[in-house]
Amino acid sequence: MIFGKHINKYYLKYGILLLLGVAALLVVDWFQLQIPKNLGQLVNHFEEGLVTQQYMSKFVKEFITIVLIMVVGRFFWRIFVMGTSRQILYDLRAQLFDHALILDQPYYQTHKVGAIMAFFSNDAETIRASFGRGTLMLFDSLFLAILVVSRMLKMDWKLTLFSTIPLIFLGIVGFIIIRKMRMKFRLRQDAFEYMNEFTQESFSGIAIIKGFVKEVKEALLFEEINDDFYNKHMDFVRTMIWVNIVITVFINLTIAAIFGFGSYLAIINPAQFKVGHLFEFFTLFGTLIWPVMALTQFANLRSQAMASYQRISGFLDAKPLIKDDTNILNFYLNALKQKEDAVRHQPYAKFYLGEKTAKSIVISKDYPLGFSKEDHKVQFNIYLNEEIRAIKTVSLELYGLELNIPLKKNLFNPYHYEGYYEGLLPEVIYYKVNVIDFDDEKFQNEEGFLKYQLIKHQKEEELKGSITFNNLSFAYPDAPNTLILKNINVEIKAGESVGVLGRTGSGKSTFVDLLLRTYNVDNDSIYLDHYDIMSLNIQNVRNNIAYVPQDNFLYSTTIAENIAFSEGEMAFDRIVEAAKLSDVYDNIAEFKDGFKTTLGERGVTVSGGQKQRISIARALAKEAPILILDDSVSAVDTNTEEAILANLERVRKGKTTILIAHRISTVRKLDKIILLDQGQLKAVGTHDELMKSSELYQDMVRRQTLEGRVMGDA
Amino acid sequence: MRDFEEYTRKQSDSHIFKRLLGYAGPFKKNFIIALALILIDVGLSSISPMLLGFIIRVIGNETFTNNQKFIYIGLIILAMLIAVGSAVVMVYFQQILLQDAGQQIVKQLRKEVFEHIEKLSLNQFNQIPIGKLITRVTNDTNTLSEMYTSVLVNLIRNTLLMIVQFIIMLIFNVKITLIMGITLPFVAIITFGYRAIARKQYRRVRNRNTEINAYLQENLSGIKLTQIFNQEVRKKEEFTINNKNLRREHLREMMMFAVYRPLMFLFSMLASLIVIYFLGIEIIKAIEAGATKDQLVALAAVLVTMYTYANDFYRPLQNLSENFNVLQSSFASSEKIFDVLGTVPEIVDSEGAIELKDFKGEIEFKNVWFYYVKDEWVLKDVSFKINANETIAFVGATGSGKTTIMNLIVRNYDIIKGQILIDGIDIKKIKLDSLRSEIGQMPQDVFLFTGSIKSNIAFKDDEISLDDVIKASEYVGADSFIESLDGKYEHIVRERGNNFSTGQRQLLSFARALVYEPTIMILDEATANIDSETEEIIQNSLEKMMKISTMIVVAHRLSTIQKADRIYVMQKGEIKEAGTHQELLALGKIYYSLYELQYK
Repeated sequence: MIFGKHINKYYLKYGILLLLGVAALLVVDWFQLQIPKNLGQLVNHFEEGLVTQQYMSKFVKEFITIVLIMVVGRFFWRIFVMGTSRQILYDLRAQLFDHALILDQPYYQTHKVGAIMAFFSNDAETIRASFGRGTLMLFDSLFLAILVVSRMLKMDWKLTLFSTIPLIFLGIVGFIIIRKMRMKFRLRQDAFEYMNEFTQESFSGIAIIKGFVKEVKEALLFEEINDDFYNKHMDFVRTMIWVNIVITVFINLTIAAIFGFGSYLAIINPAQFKVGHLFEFFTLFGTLIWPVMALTQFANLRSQAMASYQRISGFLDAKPLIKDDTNILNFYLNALKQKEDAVRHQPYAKFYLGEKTAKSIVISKDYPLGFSKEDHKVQFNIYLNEEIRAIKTVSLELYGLELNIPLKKNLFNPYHYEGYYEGLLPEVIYYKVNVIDFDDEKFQNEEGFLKYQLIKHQKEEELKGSITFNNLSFAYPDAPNTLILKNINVEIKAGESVGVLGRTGSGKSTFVDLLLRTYNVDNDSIYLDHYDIMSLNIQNVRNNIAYVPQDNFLYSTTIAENIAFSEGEMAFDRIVEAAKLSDVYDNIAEFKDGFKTTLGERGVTVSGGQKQRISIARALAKEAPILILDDSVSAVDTNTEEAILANLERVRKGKTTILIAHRISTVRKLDKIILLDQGQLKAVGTHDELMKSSELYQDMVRRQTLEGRVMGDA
Repeated sequence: MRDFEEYTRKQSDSHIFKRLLGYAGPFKKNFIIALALILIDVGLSSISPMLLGFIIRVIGNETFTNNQKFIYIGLIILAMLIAVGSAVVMVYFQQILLQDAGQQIVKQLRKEVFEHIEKLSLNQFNQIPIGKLITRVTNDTNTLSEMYTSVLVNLIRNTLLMIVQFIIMLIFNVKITLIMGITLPFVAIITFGYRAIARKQYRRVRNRNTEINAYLQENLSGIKLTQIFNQEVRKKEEFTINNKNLRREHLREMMMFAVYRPLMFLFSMLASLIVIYFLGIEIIKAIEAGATKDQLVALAAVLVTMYTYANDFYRPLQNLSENFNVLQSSFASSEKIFDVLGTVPEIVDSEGAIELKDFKGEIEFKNVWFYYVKDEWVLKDVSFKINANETIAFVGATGSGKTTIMNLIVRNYDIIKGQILIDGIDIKKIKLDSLRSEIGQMPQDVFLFTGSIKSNIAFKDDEISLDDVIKASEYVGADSFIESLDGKYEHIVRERGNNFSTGQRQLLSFARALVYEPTIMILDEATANIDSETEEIIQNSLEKMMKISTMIVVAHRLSTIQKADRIYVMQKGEIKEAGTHQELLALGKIYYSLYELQYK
């Protein structure tokens, strides 16, 4: 079953295993038919009184051999076919997860997690079934049917017609009634889902139901729905029973026909068609039922798998909008080239640089040249922008490694050449693409430095931490006409601590999102140090920022692992230090397992305030030049807040710190306060300055004093 | 109620089984008839392998003329068709009877579970994820249905089938059947052993699946953080570990199956071979002893018949092991269901509780103390008295205890200390239904049900006519927006009413409460901004409603508060100030600050 580019590669990868499985299947099928044949002969010999002791022991030997071969064969086809299908499921899941990691916030904003999860479970599972059960059903039933029918034909063609024609009918009728059955099943399923929804709504709205004393009425309504499900279910069951009856009747009528006509043949023509043949024929017919059933099932499975493939490929084809500018890569590589030239520069083979070659073959800019599949296996992709029919080979030379990797033309894309290298590669390699045409003319088209795109933890460009907003305006991609931020001009110097203040909806959180490059901004609107944020490598940007998210998302791993999230291996001292700085150390120490306490559903549930502080510790442990806290001390009490702020002041000395807040108390001591309202910058300055200059700020201060009085805090 | 994550069985199988059988009681007739039909069905199924043997004997019989043979064979086939035909009819009736009985039992059980859950107290509802409660009602009962529709009967059918076929074979040839029987213990051990292991393995696969799904759920939701911290490689490694774990269990499961199936094949072929070999030896002896053609034919027919029996001999056994498997999951589901049924609602009518009569609408709190979580007091020594037809506003910061007071008046929770009196009667001595039907509730988060506007205002009461609904809507001023909708009162309300604005939902909630003409109304005002036009309508209708009964409002809006007879100012679970708007302003304390903050 051919799917499409995302799946077909598994045929290449696992083709041999699948073929071995199919071969085992064929062996089993062939031997399976030897049993009725031998038995038929045996019966004939018995009847004629020709059996001797020797014949019997020969029969037994053969029988045992056949059975053993079948046992082994059955074992192997399962291993090969079913095992491979599991392997494919594994690969497919890994492929999906890799892609999920690449997709960006604009994608996740518009797609539900539940829907994406379905790709991993239901859809991947259906595709697996089509590789496993599908392969089995298709090949087994076809071969078995062909073998059985040809054997039957050898015995008697008329009897063969008698027994196969009803089966073909059965196949067609089966296909139709199975459809009908599925329709009934869908109705039953709908009724079941409706019952689920009703129960869901009823239990969710239980407060109002109790408030209006409607429990009894609700139970009556439920009863109606329960009845409806019962009726739909019985309807389905009745159809199902009918399906079974139809199949039973068809098969038994056919058996009756075989008995009738077969006996007639055996009586009329006992020399040609003996009772042993009748017996064999009867057994063969039994073997023929499965292929018919399997083929109808296969048709169903196939259409389901295609639908699943459509969904999965929709996901895999989605491309992230937030990505490194390709020019940046080149820019970066050029810089590297100058640095490394001294070391790498040495004469190498000469190449013909014909006129046509320079413009006719280019490495596609849309894809990075090197793409890491796994740690030590690198896949190289070369995309040619125009196909030259006369190309004989394309190869890739890795300079300095003395490697010449031949590239194969991708089966599905004539412009795409790919090759693999297994082993360690330096992070930066000098490469050349060599193309040889059919005149054995060798020309070299592209050369340059290749940055091997393995995502790993590395600091490339340590930023100092100054941030400049240069007339920044921003709207989310799904609502391009609603400006969330308008003409923001502000500068944050390296080492400053800055508060960003504003009401809900003022644009505070968007402010942060943009600094983290979770969305694209216009060129020339945000600068980190003197780099335009859009020109920097995304990883580079994020490596330089430690971030405390508003929702305080923690993973359900241990507390230590959560705090050490920015690095795989972090010294325990540093984890403890970060916990102390965020004033959560004492809480953690109280847990039975301390830092090894697992969080989340299966572990300990921590309070909102504790979550916030662990989340702060996670950011502090990162020790980045820029720290952003997005409304992150809202759930802790005033004393704790003060302690944390004091610690921050101490450890973040000389490093940029941005605190998004809605409480004045959080930001009043900072170097600078940025006041946002409805997406606009209203004021910038210290607390004292703003108290003098900004009415909005004064109003906020007044309100918060009043709020404190109402709450009874102050 | 216990949490069912890792469920350990507490009730014994026999106890559960007895209780399950109890539900089957009313359908005794169905089960007995089905059983009788099964006996006949087993008989008919057991005879059919003999047919070919008969046919062979007829064909090989040299004393018959061809015509006689045709007639005999015709009769055999006719007999076969009759047997099959009647078996089909039997199976049909048997299955219909069983399915019907089974589904009716499940329907009944489902109804009981649903009704019981509805009786549980709100506090209990808040402790259990709703998803789990739904599962008890729908899925667990479904799992159980197989118990009645197939398992019980198939246990009997398959056991009988094995016994009957074994006896038939014994009749044909005692010695050979007994020799073949030697394989039985092996097959039984392998089958049931495999089932036991496979079940465990299946559970492992399921656990790994749950793990990987939980991992995906968490990490797809938190992918932003992963990307911001540049931890994609780590996450990929973690996922690979999960993925590998799942693959390992899948492959193990496959491997077990790959060994089991050929092994079963091997044994059933061994059984067949034993039959063939020993019968073969007997036939050879007969040949050597100079048997007639007729005798040989008869022996060959026996061979064919016994081979067919032997070949299928182990199928019922495999079915049996599957039946036991289903039985186990049914028991697990039943236990969960019985556990729910055994959970007693926390808030129930006390003995001798009375109905409210000639209800005036007075409410008094006497030194009420309350907490949701032990020792975290939400209300501390709260006392107040509300006279009939007064309008009272509660104000204060979030978390000061206003909404809790509303919850206590309708007895969604029982208080810890103190007393709540309605018309001078302790609310614990009033029947819950009677209390709640006198009080019209308008909660802050207006919950609307899917259906129409009419069905939401009449709220599951058929006696309330469209006229009543329209009257109530007009009274609260909801009619103007309803009239502008397609289908007006029949306009569709989507899940939780999310196709209406907060203000519109509030108005619908007013109408829903008013239609029942309550003596006390409690309203938790929406905090969200409502457009000024709707706001005005709401205020007008509130003013009207205040005149018709006692009204208690958790108030956020100045215009509501100003019209109240008395205002209670709450702070941290205590009533700090009480009085009219003017009095409290003059006091210049908390209320004054609140006023400054929210309304200036």
